[in-house]
Amino acid sequence: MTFRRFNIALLLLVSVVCPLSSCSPNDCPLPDVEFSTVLATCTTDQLWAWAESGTPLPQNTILVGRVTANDLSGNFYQLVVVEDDKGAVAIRAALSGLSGHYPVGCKVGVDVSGLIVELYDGGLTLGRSRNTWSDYRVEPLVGREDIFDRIRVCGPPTTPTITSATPEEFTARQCGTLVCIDNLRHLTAEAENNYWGVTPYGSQAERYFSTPNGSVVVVSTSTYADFATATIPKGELSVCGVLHSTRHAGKDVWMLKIRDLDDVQQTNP
Amino acid sequence: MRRWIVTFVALLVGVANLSAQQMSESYYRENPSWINAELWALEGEPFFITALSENPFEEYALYGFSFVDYSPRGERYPTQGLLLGTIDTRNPLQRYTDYSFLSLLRRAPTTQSYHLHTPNEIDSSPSSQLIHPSPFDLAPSSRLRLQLSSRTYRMGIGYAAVAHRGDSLAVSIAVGARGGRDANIEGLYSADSYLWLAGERRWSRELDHRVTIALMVAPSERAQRSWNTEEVFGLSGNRHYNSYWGYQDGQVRSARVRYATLPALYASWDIDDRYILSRLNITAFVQAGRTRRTSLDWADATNPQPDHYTYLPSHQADPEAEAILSEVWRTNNTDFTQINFSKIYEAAALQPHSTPYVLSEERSDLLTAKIDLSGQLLGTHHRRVGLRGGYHRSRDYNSVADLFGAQSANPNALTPYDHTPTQSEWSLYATLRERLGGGTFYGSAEFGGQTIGYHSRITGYSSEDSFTLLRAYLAWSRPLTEQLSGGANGYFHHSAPFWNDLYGAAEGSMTVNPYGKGTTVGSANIWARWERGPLVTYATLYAELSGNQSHSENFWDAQSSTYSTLLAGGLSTLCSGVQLSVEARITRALKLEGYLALSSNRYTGNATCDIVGFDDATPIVRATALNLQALRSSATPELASALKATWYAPRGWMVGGELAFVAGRYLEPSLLLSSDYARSQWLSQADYNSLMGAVRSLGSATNLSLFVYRRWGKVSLSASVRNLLNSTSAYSAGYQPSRLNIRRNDTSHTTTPHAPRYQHIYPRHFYLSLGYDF
Repeated sequence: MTFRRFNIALLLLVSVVCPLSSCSPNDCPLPDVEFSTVLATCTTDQLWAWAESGTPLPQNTILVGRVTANDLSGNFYQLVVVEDDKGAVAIRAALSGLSGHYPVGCKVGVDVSGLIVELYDGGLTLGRSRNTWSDYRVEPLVGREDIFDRIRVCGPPTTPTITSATPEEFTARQCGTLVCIDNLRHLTAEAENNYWGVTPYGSQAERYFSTPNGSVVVVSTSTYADFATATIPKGELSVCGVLHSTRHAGKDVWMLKIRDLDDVQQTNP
Repeated sequence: MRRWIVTFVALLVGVANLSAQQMSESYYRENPSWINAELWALEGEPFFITALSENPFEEYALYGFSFVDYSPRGERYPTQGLLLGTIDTRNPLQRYTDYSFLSLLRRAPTTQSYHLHTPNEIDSSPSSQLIHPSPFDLAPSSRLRLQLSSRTYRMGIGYAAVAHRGDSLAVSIAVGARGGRDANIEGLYSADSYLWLAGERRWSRELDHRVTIALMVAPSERAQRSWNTEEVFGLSGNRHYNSYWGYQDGQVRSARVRYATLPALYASWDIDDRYILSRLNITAFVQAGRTRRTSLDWADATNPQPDHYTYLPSHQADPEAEAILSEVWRTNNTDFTQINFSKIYEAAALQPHSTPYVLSEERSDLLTAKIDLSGQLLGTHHRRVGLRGGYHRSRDYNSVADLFGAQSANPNALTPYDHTPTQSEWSLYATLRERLGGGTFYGSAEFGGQTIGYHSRITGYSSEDSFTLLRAYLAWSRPLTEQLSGGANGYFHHSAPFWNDLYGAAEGSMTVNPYGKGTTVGSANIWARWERGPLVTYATLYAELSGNQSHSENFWDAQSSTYSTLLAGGLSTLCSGVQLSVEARITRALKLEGYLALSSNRYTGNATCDIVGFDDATPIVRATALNLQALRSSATPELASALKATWYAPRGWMVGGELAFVAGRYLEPSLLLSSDYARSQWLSQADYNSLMGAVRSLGSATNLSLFVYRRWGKVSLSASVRNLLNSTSAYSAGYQPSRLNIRRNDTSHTTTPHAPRYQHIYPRHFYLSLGYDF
């Protein structure tokens, strides 16, 4: 062919081919993120009536609250703790990485219809069925479909309000809520007790603290927590965490589960 | 002058548009046979002259068995040279040549030939594809082609032309694009384009002085397909389930896409010398560009892959949980059976300064530069000597491609790496072809050195190792009678290992594979060709022994929850077999062809490995045995056969069909799980025996295809339907992961190997090509 026809054909081809070549079927529009709108039909204090009954919660039972603790540090394994202005409940969900979808402080609406509520360490725990032999006495929710469908995000995270009080002021209905106890001192005897989550027995390490008036407070840490090998600070501490109750030396005492090391402040070294 | 300015501007605009094309990410496992064979299946008849090899079986096997994992002689990685002029364009830092570059070379206006275990008269490659870019080798012509397909792309257009101006100047061009979504597998698509420009100038007819320059670029974007366990295929009810995509705002979005833009420049200068060498040639090749592969990464969030083993019923501890998860798959809720991009964007909105999900990119900035100086010895046409050298570099690193609307990512979401392997080489070589003993003797020898280097920008670690390069190829063929001819050839090859097998753990632990030695390969091949009347028979007997191979792989040790590295060496394999082809001209219009290969590809002995922690090189075990003796080293079928019929019908139609059958296919064993360490630490004896025994069969597979071709003057039509019977129950390929599955319940835990992962044979699909010559 001649060079002239060659050039004309070339120009036509290039002008057709090049625009086609820059189209990618993978260019998708950016979706709008809309949080769910959920209306509460009950509060956490109303769940106590079903606790330990083995009876599934009735249909259309919806809680709305804020996440106060999740599995980020590994100390609340497969748990999301939701607190409203009446109390709190820990929801057991068999999924790793819950913290990515339910960060602390985010507002959630939880459809607890048909779930079982149990008491564990003094606080309310929700799961799909009762099993007194399993952790928290309930079987966890299973499958992302059920978990994401039941626990819906209603709003972005805000900093939760934490109540400071002395052990004498707490009530049983506060179990599961986020609290702070000031002026605690670590009661230590053996050297290995200087770490939050190191123990030769089992998967939970208990550390004992004392208030100025002699009340004992237990801090429980999983050996799998990412701060388990961190050293407990000396001196007076302000410790925040999710409130539980447990037995120590034959007596009922309060127990805290901290979320991470930011929950511990050294107030008087 | 005006014409040249217009042409130049048009080319600049075209190249600028092509290089600005956006790209997205990744492949999971690229199989060597698929790249070449798929090329044939996708491209159909090449644009220009192609001469195929003398070995009809291996010529058929270039595409005929592409429906399964196939490499002609059981090679684990491709060894076929890709010669542009006298330069092998392959980058030794990449195991596989980029698909788009291969595709471009096939569609470019060039003369091409395949030398499949036969000499190529340029170097000592046992097999090679030779491409001669000279526009003067082709008659002036131009061709437009429109393509339609249901596999990997939907539509394509291409134009190629060759023009001469007298005897002094010739140019060639090829430009085209194709793209679209795969019609059979959701989440697959491609968007490719290409440009080839070549010019040749000749002076002095007496000295035959010529210069050839070629510029080529082929930007590509290809989504990938996942490998799945049989459980996932069953749960999804889809043999071609692909977990790499999800819906975003109602549209399909693929998370694993591979992009490549690798422009290259070729230049060659030839002249008759008459003083030292009768003809001198200097050829140079430079290629530089980037490949990217995207995938989802995350930290402190749920695994975004919908088929993660923890989401499957088989991983659950109780029947109720199994039933719940089975129901999710049965109802095909794509929010959970595919990637849930809504949840990913929601997570980013909740934590915009520390989003748990990112779309990461693995990038390789590649550079290859090669030069070859050679000449024919005075007084001969068949004796050449030469000197060649090359330098290759690849900066490999990762980065974030998409934050899903967030401002920054969780610092743990992406584990950074940034290292630069390099390889330089030089060699002296000589080739000759002589009449000998009534036949033809070909010999080629090459001696030189290779230096592999490594540098990490993150740790500052550097290392360098040198190896000897030694290659030799001998071939002799002779007609024995009027009808019978035969010959033998053999080659020997000793070279550096692949860089990653040497430095695979270097980024974290700054450890060099202590077993990394040069790889040695030796091969012998005997063939015979018998032609009598309409019958042509070709038979080959071969054996190839590879020794001292090294290997490095990283894996997640579920028991200790640490990332570890296996460093292996002393791997040796023996691949042997017989290939038979028969061609019969039943009538002038009817041709039948039959192909059969029987092969055995096995490890010849045990090997050794160390296992170390990836981050700190803490030795976990030293010199543990890899129990590979007599295990199959390749998934290539031990039996491969085909029947092909071609009818040259009246009025210029060509119609045909082919039926291929393969059997004797097995998964390659996992090196880690074959080790004494795995057997003693993790696996029960039953599991170990199961893994090491011959029970990991891929089964047999069949493929029926039809094709038709017709030319009406300047118009041509070719069409083919592959896998006509839509036979998809068989696997096309598979692999055994090195990971272990730990299932815990309240009282105990069990450890078993992860299930093998597979891909099923691709469904029925078609190609249609309409060409016009003008």
